[in-house]
Amino acid sequence: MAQEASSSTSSKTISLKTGDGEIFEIEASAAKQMKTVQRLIDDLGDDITIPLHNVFSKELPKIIEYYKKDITGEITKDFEAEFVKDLNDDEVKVLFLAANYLDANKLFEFLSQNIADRLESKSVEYVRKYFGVENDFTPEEESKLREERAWSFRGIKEDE
Amino acid sequence: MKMIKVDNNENEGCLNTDVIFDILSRVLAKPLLSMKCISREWHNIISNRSFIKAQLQNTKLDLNGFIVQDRYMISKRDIKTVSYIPVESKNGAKVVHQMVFGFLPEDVVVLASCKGIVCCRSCLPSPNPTIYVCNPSNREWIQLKWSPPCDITESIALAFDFDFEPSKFKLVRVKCIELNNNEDEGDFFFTFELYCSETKAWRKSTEICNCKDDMIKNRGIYIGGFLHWLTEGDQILTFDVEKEMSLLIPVPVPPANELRIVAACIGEYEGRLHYVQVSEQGLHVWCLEDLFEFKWILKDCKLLENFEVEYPRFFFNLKNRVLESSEDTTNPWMNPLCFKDGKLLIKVSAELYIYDMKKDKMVHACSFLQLKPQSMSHPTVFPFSLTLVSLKDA
Repeated sequence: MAQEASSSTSSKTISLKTGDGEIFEIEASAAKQMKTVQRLIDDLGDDITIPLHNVFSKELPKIIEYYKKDITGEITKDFEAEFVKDLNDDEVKVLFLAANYLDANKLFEFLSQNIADRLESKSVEYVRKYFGVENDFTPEEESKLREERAWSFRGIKEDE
Repeated sequence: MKMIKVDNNENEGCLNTDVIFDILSRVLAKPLLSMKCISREWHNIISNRSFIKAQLQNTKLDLNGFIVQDRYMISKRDIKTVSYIPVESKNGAKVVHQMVFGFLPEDVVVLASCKGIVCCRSCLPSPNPTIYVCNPSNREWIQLKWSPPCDITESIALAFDFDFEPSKFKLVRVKCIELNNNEDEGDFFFTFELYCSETKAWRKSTEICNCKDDMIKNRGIYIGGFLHWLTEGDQILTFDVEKEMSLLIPVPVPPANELRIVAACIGEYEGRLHYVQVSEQGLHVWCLEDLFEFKWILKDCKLLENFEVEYPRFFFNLKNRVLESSEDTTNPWMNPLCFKDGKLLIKVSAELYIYDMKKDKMVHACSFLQLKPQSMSHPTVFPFSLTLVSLKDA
């Protein structure tokens, strides 16, 4: 893919510093895809190391890897499947939150869909824990809801 | 310097509402219904109108199961038994449910099922004939009067699209009438009456369709603006709901002329009308490529002998039994009852199976007796998907 002719962005790299103090380099064109980073660049200039308090050294390389592929137009279904294959549910969640913080839209949507797919077969208890949600229903309310939900039938066993 | 909105809770793994909304809008309806009991906030999100609209746009409808309605007997009294066969069953258990429409005020006969919304009517005879349009997943329904003359054989089909306002729909009531001219034989016509949920009124259409054959398996299938009904005479009655125009589409005829079509049904798959037939040549699945050109394409075909070989426990001596029974068209040995999204509910002798066309896999669903059948004629079967759609007005 041909790089843009503009000299200010063609081979410029931006330094990013994670919340745990590590520094990573990304191309300026990749940084453009992360709106939070771009805003920081606009405000602080592109010569300064951009601090990312809420992103850590475990996640940032993976995010950079994704956008490296994105700017060359190589993101395919196979690549995306490989990308999340070895990640467990919590790792995906952390990556997803990082993408949200960075306002990295494409990665955000991809990971949002991936989490949605993973949740489909999980129990209510698991989903509560995963999102850190408190159950604020009374036991009576909850049993009434479970009765009504999902087209309850006579004789059906509770889900796991 | 611009302030960047950072939710400090994210560090603890507590996500804010916007983010939860985004994830949940990509989840299928069935798990979402379970998630309603996670917390009050989640219950509100999932019940919210704009959430439902987003969820409909982001997800596709999965075939959840088959509604099986026993048809009336000669005495013209409706049979009240309605069963439900889920497509996915835990541990391969044979699960059949009755009382699935128990949330409605009376026993009903199911008339149509479209994108998760079901249309039913009072059982006849009834002092106050009513039509119900409901969503079983949230137990909501609306009712309207079923104006006389109420014919037990008439079909009422449901035309429902998500693209417009989710709670908007049309009903099309089809009756078969005989007009006697001067000759001995009467001529048969289909008449159409339309109900619009916006105007809440019925209107008789000027369109009529001349057809000597009656509808079988009495259910209209709505695909892309058209309603389709299979008739006895190998034609498919088709009605353009918007333009109120009807036509008769001939069913596909396979090349071999010797073929006696034994049993058939129609259904939707990938947005197109499909025709499934069982004959001595096997199971054939056709797709209507072009509606006005009557162009059918063969999508899948499996010989009866292959079913025998692959599933010897289920289909011993299948081909001979099918041929023997082809004389009796009221109760064929192998009868395709309902087709949707590549899955076919098929009755073979006294057992029901679900055939997955994409995976070429046949599983046993249940025995016919589990449906507590009261009539000997084949039941009417409707495909069903779960949706969150609310029928109540905003």
